[in-house]
Amino acid sequence: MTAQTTDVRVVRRAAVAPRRARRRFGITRERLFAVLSPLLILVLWQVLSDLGVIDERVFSTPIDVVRLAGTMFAEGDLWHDVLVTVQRLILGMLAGAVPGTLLGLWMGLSRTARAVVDPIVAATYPLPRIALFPLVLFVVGLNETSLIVMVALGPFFTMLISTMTAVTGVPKIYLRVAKSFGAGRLRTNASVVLPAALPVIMSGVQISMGLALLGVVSAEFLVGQDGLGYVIWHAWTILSLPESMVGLVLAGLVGFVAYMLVAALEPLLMPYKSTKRSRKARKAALTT
Amino acid sequence: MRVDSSAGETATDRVAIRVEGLSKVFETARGEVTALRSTDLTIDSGEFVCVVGPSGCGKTTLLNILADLDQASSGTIAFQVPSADRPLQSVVFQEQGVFPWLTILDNAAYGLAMRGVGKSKRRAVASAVLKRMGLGQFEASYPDELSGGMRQRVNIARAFATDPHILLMDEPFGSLDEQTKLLLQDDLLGIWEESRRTVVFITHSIDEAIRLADRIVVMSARPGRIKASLPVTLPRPRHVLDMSEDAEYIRLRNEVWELLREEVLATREMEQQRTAGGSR
Repeated sequence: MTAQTTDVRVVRRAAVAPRRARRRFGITRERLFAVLSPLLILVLWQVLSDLGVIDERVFSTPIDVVRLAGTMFAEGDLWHDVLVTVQRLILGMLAGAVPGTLLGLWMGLSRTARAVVDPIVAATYPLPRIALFPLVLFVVGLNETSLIVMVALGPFFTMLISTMTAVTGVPKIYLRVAKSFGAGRLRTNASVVLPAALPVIMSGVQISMGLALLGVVSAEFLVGQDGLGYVIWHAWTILSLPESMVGLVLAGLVGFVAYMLVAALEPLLMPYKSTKRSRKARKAALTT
Repeated sequence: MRVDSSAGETATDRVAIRVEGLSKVFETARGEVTALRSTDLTIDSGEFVCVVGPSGCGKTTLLNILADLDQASSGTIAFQVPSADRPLQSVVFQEQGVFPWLTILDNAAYGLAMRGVGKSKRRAVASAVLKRMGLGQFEASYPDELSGGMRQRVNIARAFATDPHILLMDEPFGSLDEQTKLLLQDDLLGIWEESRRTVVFITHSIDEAIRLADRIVVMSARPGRIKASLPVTLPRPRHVLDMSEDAEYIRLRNEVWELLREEVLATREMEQQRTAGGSR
Protein backbone atom coordinates (compact mmCIF):
# COMPACT_ATOMS: atom_id res chain seq x y z
CA MET A 1 0.00 0.00 0.00
CA THR A 2 1.40 3.30 -0.93
CA ALA A 3 0.76 6.32 1.13
CA GLN A 4 -0.93 8.97 -0.83
CA THR A 5 -0.15 12.53 0.01
CA THR A 6 -1.85 15.54 -1.27
CA ASP A 7 -0.27 18.90 -1.14
CA VAL A 8 -2.65 21.60 -0.22
CA ARG A 9 -1.28 25.01 -0.67
CA VAL A 10 -3.05 27.94 0.76
CA VAL A 11 -1.75 31.30 -0.17
CA ARG A 12 -3.28 34.41 1.25
CA ARG A 13 -2.29 37.71 -0.04
CA ALA A 14 -2.72 40.91 1.82
CA ALA A 15 -5.91 42.23 0.31
CA VAL A 16 -5.81 45.68 1.78
CA ALA A 17 -3.16 48.23 1.16
CA PRO A 18 -1.78 49.77 4.33
CA ARG A 19 -4.09 52.52 5.39
CA ARG A 20 -2.77 55.96 4.89
CA ALA A 21 -2.74 58.26 7.86
CA ARG A 22 -5.29 61.04 8.02
CA ARG A 23 -3.73 64.28 7.03
CA ARG A 24 -4.43 67.58 8.63
CA PHE A 25 -5.29 69.17 5.33
CA GLY A 26 -6.06 67.57 2.02
CA ILE A 27 -8.72 65.17 0.91
CA THR A 28 -9.85 62.47 3.28
CA ARG A 29 -12.81 60.15 2.99
CA GLU A 30 -14.75 62.20 5.57
CA ARG A 31 -14.11 65.49 3.83
CA LEU A 32 -14.89 64.08 0.40
CA PHE A 33 -18.29 62.77 1.47
CA ALA A 34 -19.12 65.92 3.42
CA VAL A 35 -19.43 67.52 -0.03
CA LEU A 36 -20.35 64.50 -2.13
CA SER A 37 -23.31 63.19 -0.12
CA PRO A 38 -25.36 66.40 -0.22
CA LEU A 39 -24.45 66.88 -3.89
CA LEU A 40 -25.64 63.39 -4.70
CA ILE A 41 -29.04 64.12 -3.15
CA LEU A 42 -29.30 67.38 -5.12
CA VAL A 43 -28.47 65.62 -8.38
CA LEU A 44 -31.01 62.90 -7.63
CA TRP A 45 -33.60 65.53 -6.79
CA GLN A 46 -32.92 67.40 -10.04
CA VAL A 47 -33.08 64.24 -12.11
CA LEU A 48 -36.29 63.04 -10.46
CA SER A 49 -37.87 66.47 -11.05
CA ASP A 50 -36.80 66.44 -14.69
CA LEU A 51 -38.31 62.98 -15.05
CA GLY A 52 -41.52 64.25 -13.47
CA VAL A 53 -41.37 61.86 -10.50
CA ILE A 54 -41.23 64.83 -8.11
CA ASP A 55 -43.91 67.46 -8.58
CA GLU A 56 -42.08 70.66 -9.47
CA ARG A 57 -44.95 72.78 -8.16
CA VAL A 58 -44.31 71.51 -4.63
CA PHE A 59 -40.55 70.90 -4.63
CA SER A 60 -38.77 73.37 -6.86
CA THR A 61 -35.75 71.85 -8.51
CA PRO A 62 -32.30 72.66 -7.07
CA ILE A 63 -31.51 74.73 -10.14
CA ASP A 64 -34.66 76.78 -9.68
CA VAL A 65 -33.85 77.34 -6.02
CA VAL A 66 -30.33 78.54 -6.82
CA ARG A 67 -31.66 80.82 -9.56
CA LEU A 68 -34.30 82.26 -7.23
CA ALA A 69 -31.75 82.73 -4.45
CA GLY A 70 -29.65 84.69 -6.90
CA THR A 71 -32.48 87.09 -7.67
CA MET A 72 -33.41 87.41 -4.01
CA PHE A 73 -29.82 88.24 -3.08
CA ALA A 74 -29.58 90.74 -5.94
CA GLU A 75 -32.92 92.45 -5.56
CA GLY A 76 -34.28 91.77 -2.11
CA ASP A 77 -32.71 91.90 1.33
CA LEU A 78 -31.86 88.22 1.61
CA TRP A 79 -28.35 89.15 2.71
CA HIS A 80 -29.86 91.04 5.58
CA ASP A 81 -31.91 88.00 6.58
CA VAL A 82 -28.91 85.69 6.47
CA LEU A 83 -26.79 88.06 8.57
CA VAL A 84 -29.55 88.68 11.10
CA THR A 85 -30.03 84.93 11.58
CA VAL A 86 -26.29 84.33 11.92
CA GLN A 87 -26.05 87.16 14.44
CA ARG A 88 -28.93 85.79 16.51
CA LEU A 89 -27.39 82.34 16.35
CA ILE A 90 -24.06 83.61 17.70
CA LEU A 91 -25.61 85.82 20.39
CA GLY A 92 -28.09 83.16 21.48
CA MET A 93 -25.39 80.52 21.54
CA LEU A 94 -23.14 82.69 23.71
CA ALA A 95 -25.98 83.82 25.98
CA GLY A 96 -26.99 80.20 26.56
CA ALA A 97 -23.83 78.14 26.40
CA VAL A 98 -21.60 80.33 28.57
CA PRO A 99 -23.84 80.47 31.67
CA GLY A 100 -24.94 76.87 31.04
CA THR A 101 -21.34 75.66 31.03
CA LEU A 102 -20.45 77.65 34.14
CA LEU A 103 -23.49 76.44 36.05
CA GLY A 104 -22.80 72.89 34.86
CA LEU A 105 -19.22 73.15 36.08
CA TRP A 106 -20.36 74.36 39.46
CA MET A 107 -22.94 71.59 39.72
CA GLY A 108 -20.40 69.00 38.62
CA LEU A 109 -17.88 70.10 41.23
CA SER A 110 -20.19 70.71 44.17
CA ARG A 111 -22.54 68.12 45.54
CA THR A 112 -24.51 70.83 47.33
CA ALA A 113 -24.97 72.76 44.10
CA ARG A 114 -26.21 69.59 42.43
CA ALA A 115 -28.67 68.93 45.22
CA VAL A 116 -30.06 72.47 45.03
CA VAL A 117 -30.18 73.03 41.27
CA ASP A 118 -30.87 69.53 39.95
CA PRO A 119 -34.61 69.47 40.86
CA ILE A 120 -35.13 72.83 39.16
CA VAL A 121 -33.39 71.63 36.02
CA ALA A 122 -35.31 68.36 36.08
CA ALA A 123 -38.60 70.31 36.20
CA THR A 124 -37.79 72.90 33.51
CA TYR A 125 -35.60 71.00 31.10
CA PRO A 126 -38.22 68.66 29.63
CA LEU A 127 -40.64 71.52 28.85
CA PRO A 128 -40.87 72.21 25.13
CA ARG A 129 -38.90 75.43 24.72
CA ILE A 130 -41.49 76.88 22.38
CA ALA A 131 -44.09 76.61 25.16
CA LEU A 132 -41.99 78.99 27.24
CA PHE A 133 -42.16 81.64 24.56
CA PRO A 134 -45.28 83.43 25.85
CA LEU A 135 -43.70 83.59 29.27
CA VAL A 136 -40.44 84.98 27.86
CA LEU A 137 -42.40 87.52 25.83
CA PHE A 138 -44.31 88.58 28.90
CA VAL A 139 -41.18 88.99 31.02
CA VAL A 140 -38.76 90.39 28.45
CA GLY A 141 -41.17 92.02 26.03
CA LEU A 142 -41.66 91.65 22.31
CA ASN A 143 -38.20 92.65 21.16
CA GLU A 144 -34.86 91.34 19.97
CA THR A 145 -33.83 90.34 23.49
CA SER A 146 -36.72 87.93 23.91
CA LEU A 147 -35.72 86.34 20.64
CA ILE A 148 -32.15 85.85 21.86
CA VAL A 149 -33.45 84.41 25.14
CA MET A 150 -35.50 81.87 23.19
CA VAL A 151 -32.44 80.87 21.18
CA ALA A 152 -30.32 80.66 24.33
CA LEU A 153 -32.60 78.23 26.19
CA GLY A 154 -31.58 75.15 24.17
CA PRO A 155 -27.80 75.66 24.50
CA PHE A 156 -28.21 76.65 28.15
CA PHE A 157 -29.83 73.41 29.27
CA THR A 158 -27.71 71.26 26.97
CA MET A 159 -24.44 72.73 28.18
CA LEU A 160 -25.57 72.61 31.79
CA ILE A 161 -26.41 68.93 31.63
CA SER A 162 -23.48 67.83 29.47
CA THR A 163 -20.93 69.79 31.48
CA MET A 164 -22.27 68.44 34.75
CA THR A 165 -22.20 64.89 33.38
CA ALA A 166 -18.71 65.42 32.00
CA VAL A 167 -17.36 66.67 35.33
CA THR A 168 -18.99 64.01 37.50
CA GLY A 169 -17.82 61.37 35.03
CA VAL A 170 -14.11 62.20 35.30
CA PRO A 171 -12.39 58.90 36.22
CA LYS A 172 -11.58 58.82 39.92
CA ILE A 173 -8.03 57.62 39.30
CA TYR A 174 -7.14 60.98 37.70
CA LEU A 175 -8.27 62.77 40.85
CA ARG A 176 -6.25 60.38 42.98
CA VAL A 177 -3.15 61.02 40.87
CA ALA A 178 -3.58 64.77 41.32
CA LYS A 179 -4.10 64.40 45.05
CA SER A 180 -1.11 62.09 45.41
CA PHE A 181 1.11 64.77 43.92
CA GLY A 182 -0.23 67.29 46.38
CA ALA A 183 -2.48 69.23 44.00
CA GLY A 184 -5.01 71.37 45.83
CA ARG A 185 -8.59 71.77 44.77
CA LEU A 186 -8.04 74.59 42.31
CA ARG A 187 -5.03 72.93 40.71
CA THR A 188 -6.84 69.61 40.48
CA ASN A 189 -9.75 71.27 38.72
CA ALA A 190 -7.53 73.13 36.29
CA SER A 191 -5.03 70.38 35.56
CA VAL A 192 -7.27 67.31 35.65
CA VAL A 193 -11.03 67.90 35.82
CA LEU A 194 -11.28 70.38 32.93
CA PRO A 195 -9.12 68.54 30.40
CA ALA A 196 -10.67 65.19 31.33
CA ALA A 197 -14.19 66.62 30.93
CA LEU A 198 -13.49 68.53 27.72
CA PRO A 199 -14.44 65.84 25.16
CA VAL A 200 -17.95 65.48 26.61
CA ILE A 201 -18.30 69.26 26.99
CA MET A 202 -17.35 69.72 23.33
CA SER A 203 -19.94 67.23 22.12
CA GLY A 204 -22.41 69.29 24.17
CA VAL A 205 -21.33 72.37 22.20
CA GLN A 206 -21.91 70.46 18.98
CA ILE A 207 -25.47 69.55 20.00
CA SER A 208 -26.11 73.06 21.33
CA MET A 209 -25.24 74.54 17.95
CA GLY A 210 -28.00 72.52 16.30
CA LEU A 211 -30.48 73.45 19.02
CA ALA A 212 -29.57 77.13 18.73
CA LEU A 213 -30.29 77.09 15.00
CA LEU A 214 -33.58 75.35 15.67
CA GLY A 215 -34.32 78.06 18.23
CA VAL A 216 -33.50 80.91 15.86
CA VAL A 217 -35.69 79.60 13.05
CA SER A 218 -38.67 78.83 15.29
CA ALA A 219 -38.45 82.16 17.11
CA GLU A 220 -38.28 83.98 13.79
CA PHE A 221 -41.36 82.06 12.66
CA LEU A 222 -43.25 83.47 15.58
CA VAL A 223 -42.11 87.05 16.02
CA GLY A 224 -39.45 87.82 13.49
CA GLN A 225 -39.64 90.79 11.19
CA ASP A 226 -36.60 89.44 9.38
CA GLY A 227 -34.23 86.48 9.34
CA LEU A 228 -34.29 83.18 7.51
CA GLY A 229 -37.07 81.79 9.71
CA TYR A 230 -39.16 84.78 8.74
CA VAL A 231 -38.33 84.22 5.05
CA ILE A 232 -39.46 80.60 5.27
CA TRP A 233 -42.65 81.39 7.14
CA HIS A 234 -43.54 84.51 5.15
CA ALA A 235 -43.07 82.65 1.85
CA TRP A 236 -45.42 79.97 3.12
CA THR A 237 -48.10 82.52 4.04
CA ILE A 238 -48.03 83.93 0.53
CA LEU A 239 -47.86 80.37 -0.83
CA SER A 240 -44.51 80.92 -2.49
CA LEU A 241 -42.94 77.55 -1.93
CA PRO A 242 -39.77 78.24 -3.97
CA GLU A 243 -38.92 81.20 -1.73
CA SER A 244 -39.57 79.04 1.29
CA MET A 245 -37.13 76.49 -0.13
CA VAL A 246 -34.48 79.18 -0.54
CA GLY A 247 -34.81 80.05 3.17
CA LEU A 248 -34.68 76.39 4.11
CA VAL A 249 -31.55 75.69 2.08
CA LEU A 250 -29.79 78.77 3.45
CA ALA A 251 -30.70 77.83 7.04
CA GLY A 252 -29.24 74.41 6.33
CA LEU A 253 -26.06 75.99 5.03
CA VAL A 254 -25.73 78.19 8.10
CA GLY A 255 -26.09 75.11 10.27
CA PHE A 256 -23.53 73.21 8.23
CA VAL A 257 -20.95 75.99 8.52
CA ALA A 258 -21.60 76.39 12.27
CA TYR A 259 -21.20 72.65 12.79
CA MET A 260 -17.96 72.58 10.84
CA LEU A 261 -16.58 75.52 12.81
CA VAL A 262 -17.21 73.73 16.09
CA ALA A 263 -15.66 70.58 14.65
CA ALA A 264 -12.59 72.60 13.67
CA LEU A 265 -12.10 73.53 17.34
CA GLU A 266 -11.39 69.95 18.30
CA PRO A 267 -7.81 69.67 17.03
CA LEU A 268 -7.03 73.00 18.71
CA LEU A 269 -8.49 72.10 22.10
CA MET A 270 -7.77 68.39 22.09
CA PRO A 271 -4.68 67.77 19.99
CA TYR A 272 -4.31 64.29 21.46
CA LYS A 273 -7.54 63.23 19.78
CA SER A 274 -6.79 64.41 16.29
CA THR A 275 -3.26 63.11 16.12
CA LYS A 276 -4.32 59.69 17.28
CA ARG A 277 -4.93 58.33 13.82
CA SER A 278 -2.00 59.90 12.10
CA ARG A 279 0.30 58.30 14.64
CA LYS A 280 -1.44 54.97 14.72
CA ALA A 281 0.99 53.47 12.26
CA ARG A 282 3.84 54.37 14.58
CA LYS A 283 2.03 52.83 17.50
CA ALA A 284 1.45 49.61 15.59
CA ALA A 285 5.16 49.33 15.01
CA LEU A 286 5.85 49.60 18.71
CA THR A 287 5.46 46.85 21.19
CA THR A 288 7.33 47.09 24.42
CA MET B 1 0.24 61.34 60.64
CA ARG B 2 3.61 62.63 61.75
CA VAL B 3 6.60 63.62 59.67
CA ASP B 4 9.96 64.08 61.32
CA SER B 5 12.91 65.34 59.45
CA SER B 6 16.22 65.33 61.18
CA ALA B 7 19.79 65.30 59.98
CA GLY B 8 21.09 63.28 62.94
CA GLU B 9 22.22 59.70 62.39
CA THR B 10 21.20 57.39 65.21
CA ALA B 11 20.01 53.82 65.16
CA THR B 12 16.33 54.80 64.90
CA ASP B 13 17.04 57.03 61.90
CA ARG B 14 17.15 53.89 59.83
CA VAL B 15 13.40 53.63 60.13
CA ALA B 16 11.50 55.47 57.37
CA ILE B 17 7.91 54.42 58.05
CA ARG B 18 6.49 53.21 61.33
CA VAL B 19 2.88 52.01 61.27
CA GLU B 20 1.30 51.29 64.64
CA GLY B 21 -2.10 49.81 65.41
CA LEU B 22 -3.52 50.91 62.09
CA SER B 23 -7.17 50.03 61.45
CA LYS B 24 -9.58 50.93 58.72
CA VAL B 25 -13.32 50.40 58.85
CA PHE B 26 -15.44 51.17 55.80
CA GLU B 27 -19.09 52.07 56.10
CA THR B 28 -21.02 50.26 53.40
CA ALA B 29 -24.68 49.73 52.65
CA ARG B 30 -24.40 46.25 54.17
CA GLY B 31 -22.81 47.50 57.36
CA GLU B 32 -19.28 48.02 58.52
CA VAL B 33 -16.40 46.25 56.81
CA THR B 34 -13.06 46.05 58.57
CA ALA B 35 -10.39 46.26 55.87
CA LEU B 36 -7.41 46.52 58.20
CA ARG B 37 -7.16 45.49 61.83
CA SER B 38 -4.45 46.75 64.19
CA THR B 39 -1.66 46.54 61.66
CA ASP B 40 1.93 47.15 62.74
CA LEU B 41 4.68 47.58 60.18
CA THR B 42 8.13 49.12 60.25
CA ILE B 43 9.98 49.90 57.04
CA ASP B 44 13.62 50.92 56.97
CA SER B 45 15.01 53.74 54.95
CA GLY B 46 16.07 52.50 51.51
CA GLU B 47 14.22 49.24 51.94
CA PHE B 48 12.19 47.70 49.09
CA VAL B 49 9.17 46.05 50.67
CA CYS B 50 6.59 44.05 48.73
CA VAL B 51 3.19 43.47 50.30
CA VAL B 52 1.39 40.34 49.11
CA GLY B 53 -1.99 39.04 50.16
CA PRO B 54 -5.25 37.57 48.85
CA SER B 55 -7.51 39.96 46.97
CA GLY B 56 -9.57 42.14 49.25
CA CYS B 57 -7.13 41.74 52.15
CA GLY B 58 -6.68 45.46 52.56
CA LYS B 59 -3.26 45.84 50.97
CA THR B 60 -4.43 48.62 48.68
CA THR B 61 -6.17 50.25 51.66
CA LEU B 62 -2.84 50.20 53.49
CA LEU B 63 -1.13 51.85 50.55
CA ASN B 64 -3.86 54.47 50.19
CA ILE B 65 -3.47 55.40 53.83
CA LEU B 66 0.32 55.60 53.45
CA ALA B 67 -0.22 57.80 50.38
CA ASP B 68 -2.61 60.04 52.33
CA LEU B 69 -5.34 59.26 49.80
CA ASP B 70 -7.46 57.74 52.54
CA GLN B 71 -7.73 58.24 56.30
CA ALA B 72 -7.18 55.53 58.88
CA SER B 73 -9.93 54.81 61.40
CA SER B 74 -7.38 54.45 64.18
CA GLY B 75 -3.67 54.04 64.68
CA THR B 76 -0.66 56.13 63.69
CA ILE B 77 1.79 56.39 60.84
CA ALA B 78 5.09 58.14 61.44
CA PHE B 79 7.43 59.02 58.60
CA GLN B 80 11.03 59.89 59.24
CA VAL B 81 13.00 61.37 56.39
CA PRO B 82 16.43 63.04 56.30
CA SER B 83 15.31 66.33 54.78
CA ALA B 84 12.14 68.21 54.06
CA ASP B 85 13.23 69.80 50.77
CA ARG B 86 12.14 66.80 48.72
CA PRO B 87 8.59 65.46 48.59
CA LEU B 88 7.78 62.78 51.13
CA GLN B 89 6.28 60.33 48.66
CA SER B 90 5.03 59.65 45.16
CA VAL B 91 2.58 57.02 44.03
CA VAL B 92 2.93 54.82 40.96
CA PHE B 93 -0.62 54.00 39.90
CA GLN B 94 -1.88 51.43 37.44
CA GLU B 95 -1.53 52.34 33.81
CA GLN B 96 -4.92 54.12 33.57
CA GLY B 97 -3.41 56.78 35.83
CA VAL B 98 -1.56 58.38 32.91
CA PHE B 99 -3.34 61.49 31.60
CA PRO B 100 -4.41 61.03 27.96
CA TRP B 101 -4.48 64.80 27.26
CA LEU B 102 -0.85 65.42 28.16
CA THR B 103 2.18 64.48 26.11
CA ILE B 104 4.52 61.89 27.57
CA LEU B 105 6.90 64.66 28.60
CA ASP B 106 4.21 66.67 30.38
CA ASN B 107 2.83 63.54 32.02
CA ALA B 108 6.26 62.77 33.45
CA ALA B 109 6.61 66.41 34.57
CA TYR B 110 3.15 66.55 36.18
CA GLY B 111 4.29 65.90 39.75
CA LEU B 112 6.91 68.63 39.45
CA ALA B 113 4.32 71.02 38.01
CA MET B 114 2.13 70.45 41.05
CA ARG B 115 5.13 71.32 43.22
CA GLY B 116 5.43 74.63 41.41
CA VAL B 117 8.58 73.83 39.43
CA GLY B 118 8.94 76.08 36.37
CA LYS B 119 8.21 74.73 32.92
CA SER B 120 11.71 74.52 31.48
CA LYS B 121 13.20 73.13 34.68
CA ARG B 122 10.56 70.43 35.10
CA ARG B 123 10.69 69.44 31.46
CA ALA B 124 14.44 69.03 31.68
CA VAL B 125 14.13 66.79 34.74
CA ALA B 126 11.26 64.77 33.24
CA SER B 127 13.15 64.40 29.99
CA ALA B 128 16.15 62.91 31.78
CA VAL B 129 13.97 60.40 33.65
CA LEU B 130 12.15 59.45 30.45
CA LYS B 131 15.46 58.82 28.72
CA ARG B 132 16.46 56.63 31.65
CA MET B 133 13.23 54.66 31.13
CA GLY B 134 13.89 54.27 27.42
CA LEU B 135 11.15 56.67 26.38
CA GLY B 136 13.35 59.49 25.13
CA GLN B 137 12.02 59.45 21.59
CA PHE B 138 8.36 59.49 22.68
CA GLU B 139 8.36 62.76 24.64
CA ALA B 140 6.03 64.42 22.14
CA SER B 141 3.67 61.45 21.82
CA TYR B 142 0.38 61.06 23.62
CA PRO B 143 -0.38 58.06 25.88
CA ASP B 144 -2.94 56.61 23.46
CA GLU B 145 -0.16 56.12 20.96
CA LEU B 146 1.86 53.96 23.36
CA SER B 147 1.57 50.34 24.42
CA GLY B 148 0.43 49.46 27.94
CA GLY B 149 3.97 48.70 29.03
CA MET B 150 5.25 52.04 27.80
CA ARG B 151 2.40 53.87 29.50
CA GLN B 152 3.36 52.18 32.73
CA ARG B 153 6.93 53.38 32.30
CA VAL B 154 5.55 56.91 32.00
CA ASN B 155 3.80 56.34 35.31
CA ILE B 156 7.04 55.24 36.94
CA ALA B 157 8.93 58.15 35.40
CA ARG B 158 6.33 60.58 36.77
CA ALA B 159 6.82 59.25 40.29
CA PHE B 160 10.63 59.21 40.09
CA ALA B 161 10.80 62.69 38.55
CA THR B 162 9.77 64.36 41.81
CA ASP B 163 12.63 62.52 43.57
CA PRO B 164 10.57 61.56 46.62
CA HIS B 165 11.87 59.89 49.78
CA ILE B 166 9.31 57.12 49.52
CA LEU B 167 7.75 55.44 46.49
CA LEU B 168 4.37 53.78 46.87
CA MET B 169 3.32 51.39 44.13
CA ASP B 170 -0.15 49.92 43.84
CA GLU B 171 0.06 46.79 41.69
CA PRO B 172 1.66 48.84 38.92
CA PHE B 173 2.24 45.88 36.62
CA GLY B 174 -1.02 44.07 37.40
CA SER B 175 -2.64 44.60 34.02
CA LEU B 176 0.41 43.92 31.85
CA ASP B 177 1.25 40.74 29.98
CA GLU B 178 3.91 38.46 31.44
CA GLN B 179 6.78 39.39 29.11
CA THR B 180 6.20 43.12 29.48
CA LYS B 181 5.97 42.65 33.23
CA LEU B 182 9.42 41.02 33.36
CA LEU B 183 10.99 43.80 31.34
CA LEU B 184 9.41 46.48 33.49
CA GLN B 185 10.51 44.78 36.69
CA ASP B 186 14.06 44.90 35.34
CA ASP B 187 13.66 48.57 34.44
CA LEU B 188 12.28 49.35 37.87
CA LEU B 189 15.14 47.52 39.60
CA GLY B 190 17.60 49.42 37.41
CA ILE B 191 16.29 52.88 38.20
CA TRP B 192 15.79 51.96 41.86
CA GLU B 193 19.39 50.71 42.28
CA GLU B 194 20.60 54.20 41.35
CA SER B 195 18.81 55.99 44.18
CA ARG B 196 17.73 53.26 46.64
CA ARG B 197 14.61 55.02 47.76
CA THR B 198 12.26 53.41 50.25
CA VAL B 199 9.62 51.47 48.29
CA VAL B 200 6.32 49.95 49.33
CA PHE B 201 5.10 47.80 46.45
CA ILE B 202 1.69 46.12 46.50
CA THR B 203 1.33 43.01 44.36
CA HIS B 204 -0.56 39.74 44.17
CA SER B 205 2.30 38.00 42.38
CA ILE B 206 4.66 35.98 44.56
CA ASP B 207 7.32 35.89 41.82
CA GLU B 208 7.19 39.64 41.40
CA ALA B 209 7.59 40.13 45.15
CA ILE B 210 10.65 37.83 45.34
CA ARG B 211 12.32 39.39 42.31
CA LEU B 212 11.96 42.93 43.59
CA ALA B 213 11.88 42.97 47.37
CA ASP B 214 14.31 43.12 50.24
CA ARG B 215 11.46 41.91 52.39
CA ILE B 216 8.08 40.36 51.68
CA VAL B 217 5.18 41.19 53.94
CA VAL B 218 2.36 38.64 53.78
CA MET B 219 -1.09 39.86 54.73
CA SER B 220 -3.96 37.76 56.01
CA ALA B 221 -7.45 37.52 54.57
CA ARG B 222 -9.89 40.27 55.57
CA PRO B 223 -9.73 41.85 58.03
CA GLY B 224 -6.15 42.35 56.96
CA ARG B 225 -3.21 42.24 59.31
CA ILE B 226 0.44 41.39 58.84
CA LYS B 227 0.81 37.63 58.93
CA ALA B 228 4.52 37.24 58.23
CA SER B 229 7.56 39.22 57.21
CA LEU B 230 10.22 37.37 55.22
CA PRO B 231 13.61 38.78 54.25
CA VAL B 232 14.72 38.14 50.67
CA THR B 233 18.45 37.52 50.72
CA LEU B 234 19.01 37.19 46.97
CA PRO B 235 22.02 39.31 46.02
CA ARG B 236 21.69 42.63 44.26
CA PRO B 237 21.92 43.99 41.64
CA ARG B 238 19.31 41.55 40.43
CA HIS B 239 18.19 40.69 36.96
CA VAL B 240 14.76 39.19 36.87
CA LEU B 241 15.54 36.54 34.26
CA ASP B 242 18.56 35.02 36.06
CA MET B 243 16.77 34.34 39.32
CA SER B 244 14.09 31.73 38.81
CA GLU B 245 16.54 28.77 38.97
CA ASP B 246 18.10 29.95 42.22
CA ALA B 247 17.57 27.54 45.16
CA GLU B 248 16.83 30.39 47.54
CA TYR B 249 14.26 31.73 45.08
CA ILE B 250 12.47 28.38 44.95
CA ARG B 251 12.59 27.95 48.73
CA LEU B 252 11.07 31.41 49.26
CA ARG B 253 8.46 30.87 46.63
CA ASN B 254 7.24 27.75 48.43
CA GLU B 255 7.34 29.42 51.81
CA VAL B 256 5.32 32.44 50.69
CA TRP B 257 2.84 30.25 48.86
CA GLU B 258 2.33 28.08 51.97
CA LEU B 259 1.60 31.22 53.99
CA LEU B 260 -0.71 32.63 51.34
CA ARG B 261 -2.58 29.43 50.57
CA GLU B 262 -4.54 29.38 53.83
CA GLU B 263 -5.45 33.02 53.38
CA VAL B 264 -6.60 32.56 49.80
CA LEU B 265 -8.72 29.61 50.89
CA ALA B 266 -10.15 31.63 53.79
CA THR B 267 -11.01 34.45 51.38
CA ARG B 268 -12.73 32.00 49.06
CA GLU B 269 -14.78 30.57 51.90
CA MET B 270 -15.78 34.07 53.00
CA GLU B 271 -16.92 34.90 49.50
CA GLN B 272 -18.92 31.71 49.21
CA GLN B 273 -20.64 32.40 52.50
CA ARG B 274 -21.45 35.92 51.44
CA THR B 275 -22.86 34.76 48.12
CA ALA B 276 -24.96 32.10 49.87
CA GLY B 277 -26.15 34.64 52.45
CA GLY B 278 -27.03 37.10 49.71
CA SER B 279 -29.15 34.65 47.73
CA ARG B 280 -31.21 33.60 50.71
